[in-house]
Amino acid sequence: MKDSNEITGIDILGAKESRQNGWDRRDFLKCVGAWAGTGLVLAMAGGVLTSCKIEDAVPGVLSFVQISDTHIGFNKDPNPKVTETLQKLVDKINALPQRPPFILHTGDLSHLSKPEEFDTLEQILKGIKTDQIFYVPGEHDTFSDQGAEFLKRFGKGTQGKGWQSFDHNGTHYIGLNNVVAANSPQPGAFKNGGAEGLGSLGTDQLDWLQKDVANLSASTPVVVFTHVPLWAVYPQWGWGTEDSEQALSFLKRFGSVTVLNGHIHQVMQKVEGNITFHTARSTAYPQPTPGSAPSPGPVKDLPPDRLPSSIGVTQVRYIETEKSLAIVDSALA
Amino acid sequence: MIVIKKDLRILASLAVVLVGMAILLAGCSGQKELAGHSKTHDMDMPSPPPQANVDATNKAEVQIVIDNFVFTPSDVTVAPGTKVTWINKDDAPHTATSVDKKFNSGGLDTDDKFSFVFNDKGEYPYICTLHPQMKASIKVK
Repeated sequence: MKDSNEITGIDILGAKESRQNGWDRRDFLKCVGAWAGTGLVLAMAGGVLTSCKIEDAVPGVLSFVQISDTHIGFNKDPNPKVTETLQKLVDKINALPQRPPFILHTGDLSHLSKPEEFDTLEQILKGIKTDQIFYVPGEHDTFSDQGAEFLKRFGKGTQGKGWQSFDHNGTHYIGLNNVVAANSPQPGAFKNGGAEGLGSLGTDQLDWLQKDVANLSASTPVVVFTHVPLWAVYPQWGWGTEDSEQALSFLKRFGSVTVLNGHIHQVMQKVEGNITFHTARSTAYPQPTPGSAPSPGPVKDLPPDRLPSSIGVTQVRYIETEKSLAIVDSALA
Repeated sequence: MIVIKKDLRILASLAVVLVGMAILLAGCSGQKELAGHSKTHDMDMPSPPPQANVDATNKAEVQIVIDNFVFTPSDVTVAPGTKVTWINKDDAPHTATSVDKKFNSGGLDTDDKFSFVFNDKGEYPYICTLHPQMKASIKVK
């Protein structure tokens, strides 16, 4: 990970003409134009536009929407009403000009794995106009029972402890569970996972992944979705996955790999070769930027008027002419 | 081509302004770290040192506070029959879970408590299963 070619928001405007994420300068201009006019704030990271009003038209076919860290059951500052904000985001998804064929939920559905929290989440997400919702667990969904209840409710069609893959319109999607090994209170499990609170995939899942992609052509676009980042965002806070290098080594030969995750409740992006790493906002509450607070708890002193811009969902669009993906993070407001 | 370059420069300046606005509006210094530039020196913030190796063998009850992702005191020695109570004073939920499956608080939300009476001598390491980097232990002797 050391030799990554992280690029900043400014690079793409000047030196970089990267199309790794499907955005060329013209697309970007269009969006800037739309935004400057409406006075919205533009945030750039990793070389793509990473914040947009959900209603804004973005070029390309809407491939899917990513929802993350719904934390149903959380009831404190800065958002005592997480079900209401989630419902508002669901309404916005339903108002999109293109109906998303499916939704990816990248974990922490619940706050405390309580059955009533899972019930509420299911109830709200049932309202999304889409064909299917794919889930991977977060540590909040698995910490009490190694994910048994989560798998029973949301793991249909998955393998092992909840990993899965499927194809849609020529793109290969892979859902990985990188929280269960880290949650094992067994000391033996620490050798191979989660000793310092990092995410962990484990050998069973890595073996499966290697086989899963073995027969794919290198030109197949690959989308990986998981909870904890697959790059070392901030290991001191457990924001990384200890055996992610192995997983990524199986994906290096592909021309376009997009890794989507949640867990850190903020937008962050890195481009490394043909792999784009992207973390999504929570629909519930933001967490501090790495190292900016003594611990990664909720940003509870957030002024109420700043909450809507701190939570949201992510739209991913397939640019047919570019054969690549555009990732657009959409805040609630 | 020159025209395009000029456009790019204007665009770049526009972006600088917009990013600047974003930082101003966000009112926090972390915006520049969006691309993942972690800074370890930012961790030099004052945080209470965990009290290690506290001898509480003369007490019938012991309280362990969970705050800022730390158990305090982190290592306590108690006499057999001592009731240990964990209280979560953090904004995030935690657990106190024995690595040997001797006790398990389950999820403790803010201000939730969990108690366990330690009757048998021995050493009981435990973690938070939500944040396994949080490690501590109870010694009974």
